[in-house]
Formats: sequence, structure tokens, C-alpha cells
Amino acid sequence: MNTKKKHSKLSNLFWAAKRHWKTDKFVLLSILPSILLTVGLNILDSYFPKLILDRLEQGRPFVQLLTAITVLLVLRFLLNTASSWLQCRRHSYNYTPTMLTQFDIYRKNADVLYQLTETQDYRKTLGHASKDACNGNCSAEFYWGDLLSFGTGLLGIGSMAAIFAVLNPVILLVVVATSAVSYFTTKWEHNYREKHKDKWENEDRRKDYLNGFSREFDKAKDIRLYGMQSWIEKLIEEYDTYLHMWEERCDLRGTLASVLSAFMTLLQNGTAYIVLITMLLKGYLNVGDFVFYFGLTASLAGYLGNIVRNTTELVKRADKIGYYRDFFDYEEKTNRGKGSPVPTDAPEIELRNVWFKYEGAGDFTLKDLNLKISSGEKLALVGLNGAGKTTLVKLICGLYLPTQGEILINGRPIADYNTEEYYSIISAVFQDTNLFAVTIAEFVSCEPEKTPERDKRVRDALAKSGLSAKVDSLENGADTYLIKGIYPGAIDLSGGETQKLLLARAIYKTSSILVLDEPTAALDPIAENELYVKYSALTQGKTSVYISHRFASTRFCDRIVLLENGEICEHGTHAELMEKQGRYAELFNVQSKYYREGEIDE
Amino acid sequence: MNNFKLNLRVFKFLSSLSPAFFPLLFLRQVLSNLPFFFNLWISAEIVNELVSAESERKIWALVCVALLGNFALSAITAVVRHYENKASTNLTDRHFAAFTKKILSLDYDKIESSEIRDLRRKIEENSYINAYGWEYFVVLTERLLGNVLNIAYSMFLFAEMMILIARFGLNLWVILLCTGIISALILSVFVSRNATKKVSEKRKAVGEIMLDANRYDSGIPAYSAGKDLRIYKLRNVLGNITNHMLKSNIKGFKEVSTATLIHERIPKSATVLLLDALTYLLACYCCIMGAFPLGSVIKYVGYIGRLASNIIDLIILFTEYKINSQYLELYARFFDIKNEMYQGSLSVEKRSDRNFEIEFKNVSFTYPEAAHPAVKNISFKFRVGEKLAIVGMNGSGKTTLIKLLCRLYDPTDGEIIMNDFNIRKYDYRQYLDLFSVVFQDYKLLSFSLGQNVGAGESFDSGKAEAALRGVGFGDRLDELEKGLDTMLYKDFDSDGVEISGGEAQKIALARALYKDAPFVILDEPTAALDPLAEAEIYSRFDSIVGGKTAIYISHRLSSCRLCDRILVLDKGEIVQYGSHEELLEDKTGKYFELWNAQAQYYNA
Repeated sequence: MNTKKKHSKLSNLFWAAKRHWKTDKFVLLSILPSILLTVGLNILDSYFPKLILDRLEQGRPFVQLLTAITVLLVLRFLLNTASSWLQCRRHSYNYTPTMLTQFDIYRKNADVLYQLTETQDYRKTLGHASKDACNGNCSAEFYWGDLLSFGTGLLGIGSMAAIFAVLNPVILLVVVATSAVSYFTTKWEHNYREKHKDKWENEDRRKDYLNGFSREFDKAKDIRLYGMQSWIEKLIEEYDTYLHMWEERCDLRGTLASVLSAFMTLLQNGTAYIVLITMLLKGYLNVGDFVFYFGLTASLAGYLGNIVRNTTELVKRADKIGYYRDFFDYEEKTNRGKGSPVPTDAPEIELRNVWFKYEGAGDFTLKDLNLKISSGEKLALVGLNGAGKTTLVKLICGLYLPTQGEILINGRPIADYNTEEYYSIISAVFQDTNLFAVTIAEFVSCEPEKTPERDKRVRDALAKSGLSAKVDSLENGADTYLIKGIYPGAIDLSGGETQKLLLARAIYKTSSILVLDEPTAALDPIAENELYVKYSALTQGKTSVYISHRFASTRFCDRIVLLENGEICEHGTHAELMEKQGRYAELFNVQSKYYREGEIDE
Repeated sequence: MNNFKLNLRVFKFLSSLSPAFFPLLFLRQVLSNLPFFFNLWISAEIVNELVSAESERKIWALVCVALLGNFALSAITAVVRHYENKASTNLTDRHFAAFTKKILSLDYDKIESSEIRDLRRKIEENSYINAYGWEYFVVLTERLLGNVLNIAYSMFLFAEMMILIARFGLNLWVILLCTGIISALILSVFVSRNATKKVSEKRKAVGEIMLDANRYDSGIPAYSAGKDLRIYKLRNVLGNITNHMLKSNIKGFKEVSTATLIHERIPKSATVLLLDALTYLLACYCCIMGAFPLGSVIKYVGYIGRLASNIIDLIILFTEYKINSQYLELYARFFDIKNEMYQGSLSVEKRSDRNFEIEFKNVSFTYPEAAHPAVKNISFKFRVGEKLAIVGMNGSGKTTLIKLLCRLYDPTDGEIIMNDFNIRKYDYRQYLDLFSVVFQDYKLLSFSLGQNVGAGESFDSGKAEAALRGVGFGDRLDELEKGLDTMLYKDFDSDGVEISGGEAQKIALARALYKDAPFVILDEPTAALDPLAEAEIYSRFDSIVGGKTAIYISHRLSSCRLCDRILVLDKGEIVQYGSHEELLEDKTGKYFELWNAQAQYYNA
């Protein structure tokens, strides 16, 4: 298990800033000037009317007035422009840190031991980080916005509080007190939502799932044929009604809070009026001062109203940055150092007392497995669903680590090899097919650079896997994008074609270990047979493992291993096992019954 | 359609979804823009009273008006906003529901077409990534209302000032300054037109980059692809795209922000500077001359800057409406898609004898975007109660044939006849009810097990259980604590169960069985199953199918032994049709080739 260090909030902010600093210094450097400019402009705007009123009241000559107005307006223009410049300049780095963070997440996700990626804890950690990175408001980038608001708030409150402390502390006290009350009332809605959120979280998720049918077309056939449309529509309506009821209840709290906060503003302004007008009538202030201070009261109330929110946002931000640190700190459990030189010829693979248990599973999937696959051997792995065949090949590929025991490649444990280098000698076709939106040639070659050499080899691999005819029939050939609806002109492949594409990728790669897990489930008999016939050629110079439910495939392998409940039940050649009349022979007969001449006895 | 009509149409559509929304939006805008002007006015009155210092009572009376007026405005706005929020939630949800409903109601051939998928994708990505679309229409309309109201309020003050000045008597300075102010306002129109022209182009380019990034994200493989990601170093492919994206991202945003600064921000504040200067001068001059009291200066200088930026924003708004119209057009196109499939009216006879006869007559079909037909000249007949196997190589048209039979598509040529009538003539829903289909890529939904089997909210639990036991799911069913009420997958319920491929296949079979339709169609139902499970399905085949008409597609030719007749397809055409024994006799035939490709390994 991953032991998690607890990071302090402050260190999280510092971490994000340090990361940011490496790629872009401007944003961080611009924060303080921006804060000063914002508060400065605010005070200047309040001061402006005072200046005019004072001069008008004193009956100064028009030229003096003209000079004052010009100077102040030009000053405001300059400050405004400086502030805009900082903003725009910051904006020009928009989303760059987000992208870099996303890439780092993808990279890290590709670097950790695969087994970890299937654990709950890892998924949660990754989920937190990638959700934050992809919602358009990545904390590793936009924390600076919170810093900026927080800093502006602090400076604003500080400077105005100082002014009022000198002028008349009563106003300051009342504004602080009423803002505090407003703060608590605005929490109502939030608290109410937090308290009741379990009442609608499920419904919300369900509604999203149902509305998802308008995006995911894969269920369209079943929904139509089984006539489920009106049911789905009815459900959406029911959930909407239910959710609206709760939304209204929550919003009602917010509305009440707004009315109360309007009343608090009334108290603030009332105090300001009473204090300022009294002072004016007593002759301590002139009209210009009155306008100036009254303007400041509103600003102070504004800053105070926001500071709590700014602080909360900043704290939340710091916590979210913690998601990234947790994720990037995740122990990779792979060998990234200099490993032993990986075998270039077909290696010998040996499993010694290998046990394997999935996280959270009660029972071991593989139990004390001992198996030696000699160099260049073609091994067939058969067994019922759930016997542990796929688990076994994932262990051999280094995607899983044995719970106990070890796996040796040419006599050395897999962990001795550099993980990247070890992966580089493996070609594999797994059962689950994952296509993504790149071109066919890119998919097969895993090389983004289009070169004549690459395209030639891609054509070759496609020919060997039997997909040439299909690819040639496409207008853009191997440069056609996969997955309809992402890039224009993209195509969807059928199940059989997808399997051939995966096979082509395995063929393209130069490797010394070949693993095929049910590579023919969707292929027609002729294509299936072709693979069998070509199998020896494909496995030339490789050690190979072939998993299949089709016992025909076992004929092309040197040896068959039958797994049952995580243990090796039988092994040997087809002839040996048939002679033995054991479990293998039984399964073979079950399957071959329908292929043999004569009637099927029911 | 021109932009105005298009926007009007969207307005009408949204109004029909939530009739209260726009009136409330308007009312709230009226209220929430008022305090600014109210405060300008009342402050001016208070200052005027303070300066003249005539009556202290009048001062306090004005203070009370200011306090209560502000409170009343805020409180009423809050209440109106509450109702507006309600209407707005309604609007959003009804809109999504309308979208889902539209997709669900589309003919299947529309769903499959690239054109409609592209349309759907464009709408989605532009709304999620760049916020264009109907939501932006709402945002723009809100801003438009705010702007227009602000301009109206400002005009009111402007008119008041002009009247006061005119009453006092014009002189050259006043006329010059007024002309200056009006010219500056006109200038701001030009400034903003230039700004929108220069900036929005660049914004659009950035939008494209964001779309690209999104496409890339959706191409990123999920957890399960982690194996491929490692073994095949997919990082290389993805890494290349990422660098490219990063570069264009930086370039795009840099251009936008530079353009914004130079063409929008600076000219805007320069115009405001000019206007402010002129207004201050005019107001001060008139005040000194005695046209209005000191306090009014605050009032008259306060609104004018706001007026200028409102005019600029208004122009920008119209440009944004124009840009957004391109995306609204996508909406209109989407909701305009018409189902073209002929919906017959002939009632399917609920024959208790299930006596249906189907005949394909010279049926050909070409997929909308394909160059070659998927099936050509298909003619065959099959009788009720018959068990038909369809075999052939990948891409030979087996699944297409099924889709034609189930009317997911209509043939391009030829016709399919059921009991003397073209199948198009039957009522569509009733016709579909004749078929229980398990497609190769069947999908279960995240509802309860029983609801999945019953394909509906309420189901007959006895029948559902029987169906599940019938396909060999009985043992697993007994293990499930909540039985038929167990939720599948985790989308609906975090307590939902994950099921294996083999189990899912059995549930899909049970669903077909539950439907109890006269035709049972199974497309590769055993692909994911091990030999024992496959043999189990085979041995139950007769009880699953019963006396119904069955069509079985499989690459496992052993299944042909279960069927009365076999249809062999090759490159979209029927090459053989007959019983297993008959077809095997033709040693040069396709069936012989297919059969032996597999059987050779089992006969030794």
C-alpha cells in the first residue's frame, strides 16, 4: 500500500508556485504589482470626486480644475493600462501549465506498475488529480487567481481599515460586525447543501447517466429494439422533478441570506451616513470628504464580504494541489534505473512458486504455479473462464508482480530489467480492445512520425494480419483516423477488423516475447485458420504464449498447459493429453462433438 | 436562415421549454441595474442638501430614502432571482432532456451516420469547451438586456443634464464640449467595431486549439488501455501530439491576449479617458456657471463612463451573437433532422400460431457513406419455426442482413416481405416487437438485473427469473443478495455489481428470452465463452428458442449443426443455402471451405 505523506496547505501552494516558476516566471512576478494596482485604482476612483468637489467648493479657477482633472485621468489611464497589460500578458500563458500538468499525469499514469492502476486507492488518487486537471480550472495553474484575490482583499481591507481607524473607528467596527453576520447567513445555503447532498447525489448521477444516451450511441440498437425510449424519458423527467425540488429548497436559503445581507448593508450605510453627516455638520469634514469616505465604506464592505470567500477558495485550492502531490508521489514500483541487458533472442521464461491475489479478492487467482517455458517455445494456455490465464500472461508481461514467488527471464527476475526495456521486447494482443483517435498507421506502428519506412512496414504488418483489403478500400488508406465522431473522415471498425488491427500492431513490433490472448474470438473461420497456419512464421525467434478457448489453436503449439482454478491441471502435447483421457480430452471432446461427422446425441 | 431568424427561433424554442425564464430575466435585469443610478441620484441630492445646509431634517429624510430604497431594491431583486433560478434550472434540464429525447427518437440509420455524429460532436464540444451554443445565447441575451437598460438609464440622466444646461443657456464652450462628448461616443462605436473584428478572429483560433485538445483527450485511452500504453510505448504517439498542442496553445493565447490589449483594452480605456475628461469639464463648467448645484456634478460625471463602455459592449455583443449563430445553426440542424424511415400502419397480427413467413426479394443495401453495397441481390425465404444459421467471413454482410430484417435500415433496393406485405407497411413499433435480438455488441444498461431482463421499469419477476435460469444464470442469481433487484454496474448505484463478459452475455440472452418474440436472433452469442459454457448454450438452444423462428450467426460453425438451414454469405451475396449435410456435399463450395477450416482440427 502506498503510504501517504500529509502535505501542509502552505507547502502545497509553494509546490505549485515552484512548478509554475520553472516554466513561466511572469505570472508569479505579476501578482504583487496587480494587487497594488487594483487597490490603488480603487482608492483613486473614490478620491476623484473629492478632488473635484473640493476645488469646486473652494471656487478655484477653472484652469486649476482642468489641470487636476487631466492629471488624475491620465494617471488613471496609465494605471489601468498597466493593469490590463499585466492581465493580458498573464492570459497569454493560459492553460499552458494545465496542459503540462495533464501531460505529467498521463506520463506518470503510464509509468507506474500496471497492477497499481487497477487498485481502488490508485484510481481514487488519479481520479482526484485528473478531474481537477481537466475541468478547465486546474489548481496547479489557477491557484494564482486565488492568490491574487486573496492578496487584493487583504491589502484592500488593510488600507481602508487604516483610513477609517484614523477617521472614525465606529464605521470600521459596524462594517466588520455586519460583514461577519452576512458571512454566517451566506453559509446557510452551503451548509444546507452539504447536509443534504446525499439526498440527491445518486439521482444526479443517474440523470447524467441517462442523458449520456444522447452522446454514447453504442446502446442505441438495444434501446430501440427493446423499446426502452419512453421509459428512459420518463425516468429523466422524474429525476428532474425531484432534483428541482431540492434545488429550490437550497436556493430559498440563499435568497433569505441575500435579503438579510441587504439589511446588513442598510446597517453599514446607515452608520456611515450618521457618522459622516454628523461629522460634516460639526464641521470636521467637508462635502468632498463625505463623498470620499462614503465611497470607501462601500469598498471596505465589499472587500470584507469577499475576504472570507477568498480565504476559503485559497484553502480549497491548496487542498486540491495536494491531489497532484499525492498522485505524483505515488510509488511507481517499477525499475527505472539501469537494468540488466534485455534478451534480444527468444528468452526462457520461468515461473517459480508464483502466487497471485487481486486486491480485495478473497482467494488467490494463481496458486503456487511452477512453469518453465523454454527459449522459442510455443505455449498454448487453455482453461475455463476465470481459470487465471489472463492473469498469468499479465504477470509474464511484467504488468503484475507476483504476490509470492518470482518470474525469471533468462534466469533473472523481471525486476532486474529496466521496466521500459523489458516492455520493449514484448508484443501482445490482449482481450479487451482499446482503440483511440489516431490514424491506423500511427496505431499499428506507435510512431507518430510519418516516414516511407514506417508506412512500408505498416503495410506489411496489415497484410500479415489480413487487414490489407479493408485498409486499401479506404480513401486515405492507413492514414484514416480511427473512431467515428472525433476527427472528420474517421471510421469505426467491426469486431473482427479490430482484432486484426491489434494483431498487426503486435506483428509490427520487433520483439522476443509474443503474447496473444484470445486473438481470434471475432475472426471468421478462414481468418482464424490463416493465423494458425502463419503462427510458426510469426513466432520465429520468439517465445510465445497463446490463450484460446478454441482447442484447434493448440495444435500449432509445442506444448499445452491447462489451467484450472489457478493451478496447472495438465500439460503436454495435444497427443499426450488426448491419450491421457483427462480434463483436456474432456473439454476437447465437448468442443469437437459438433464438428465430427454423424449425429449429435442430445 | 438569417442570423436574426435563427436567434429568434432559439429564443422561441427556449421559451417553450421554460416560459417564465425570459420575462423573469428581464425583470431581474431591470431591478439589478437600477441601484447604480438610484445611488447616483440620491447621493447627488444628499450632497446638494449638505452643501446648501438648509434643513437638517431634509438631509435625514433623504438618507432614509437612500437606505430603504437600496434595501427594497436588493430584497426584491433577491426574490426575483430566486424565481429566475428556478426557471433557469428548468430550462437547462428540459433542454438536456429535449436533446436526449431527440436522439432517442431518431431512426437508427441516422444514429449511425457520420454526418449526424459529427453534428452531435460539434454541438457538444463547442458548448462544453468554448461555451458556444444555446447557453451562450442565454448569456448574451442577459448581457444585452443589461446593456440596453443601462443605456436607457444613462440616456435619462444625459437628457436631464442637457435640459438643465439648455435652460440655463447655451454658449460656445458648452456646445463644443457637447459636440465633443457625442463625437467621443461615436468614436467608441468605431473602436469597438475594430476591436471585435481584430479580436474575435483570434478568439476563434484559440477555440479551435481548445477543441483539438479536447479531441486529443477523448482519444486518450482509459484505464483498461494501460496495458497497451506500456507495452507499445503509446506515450510516443501521444507525446508528439502534446508538444504540437502546447506550441499552438501558447501561440494562440499570445495572439489573442496581444490583440485584446492593443485593439480592445487600450482603445477602450482611451475612449473612456476622453469621454470622462469632456464630461468632467462640461459638468464642472456648468456647475461653476451655476447651471446645477455641486452635488449634481457627481451624478452627471458618474454615468457617462458607464454609457461609453455599455455602447462598446453592445457592439461587441452583436458580433458575439453573430459568431454564436454559427453554432446555433448546428442546433437548428440537429432538431430539424427528420426521420425518413417509412412508418407503416398495418397492424401486425398477433397470431397465436406465430405463423410468419419472411421473404427477401432481391434485397441490396449500401451503407450511406460506403462505395460498395454491403449486401447484394439477396433473395431467400424462410418459414416459421425454422432455425436458420447465417455464416460467412468477416464483412460478408451477416449483421447487415439482420439489421435489414429488424428494420434498423431499409433496403436500398428490393424488398422484404412478411406474410404478403412489405415489412415497411407494418406499424414500426409492433414490427420491432416481433424480434428478440442479441447483437454481437449488445449493451446492458445500469439498471437492476430484473429491469434489464424485462427491458422496462416494471417486469414480471417470475418470468425474468425463469429466463435467467433458462440461459444458465441461475447459480449466479442465487448468489446475489438482492436477486433481481441487484443493480448492474456502478453508474446508478455504488452498490451495483460488475459482471463478467460471459455473465453479461447470459443476461442479454435472458432479455431476449423474456421478450418472448416470435423471432429470436442471436449474433455471436458464444464468442466470449469457454467450451463448457458454449456447450451449455448449445444444449439449451432448443429450449431457449422453443418453437420460435431462430436466426443464429456465429463464426463457430459447430453451431450450424443446431440449425435446419444454413445461409452462406460471401462478399454480400448468398452463395449457398441449404442444410448442413447438403452444403457439405459441395466440396468446392464456400461452406465446405469454412467448415473444414475449423473442423479439420477436431476430426483427427
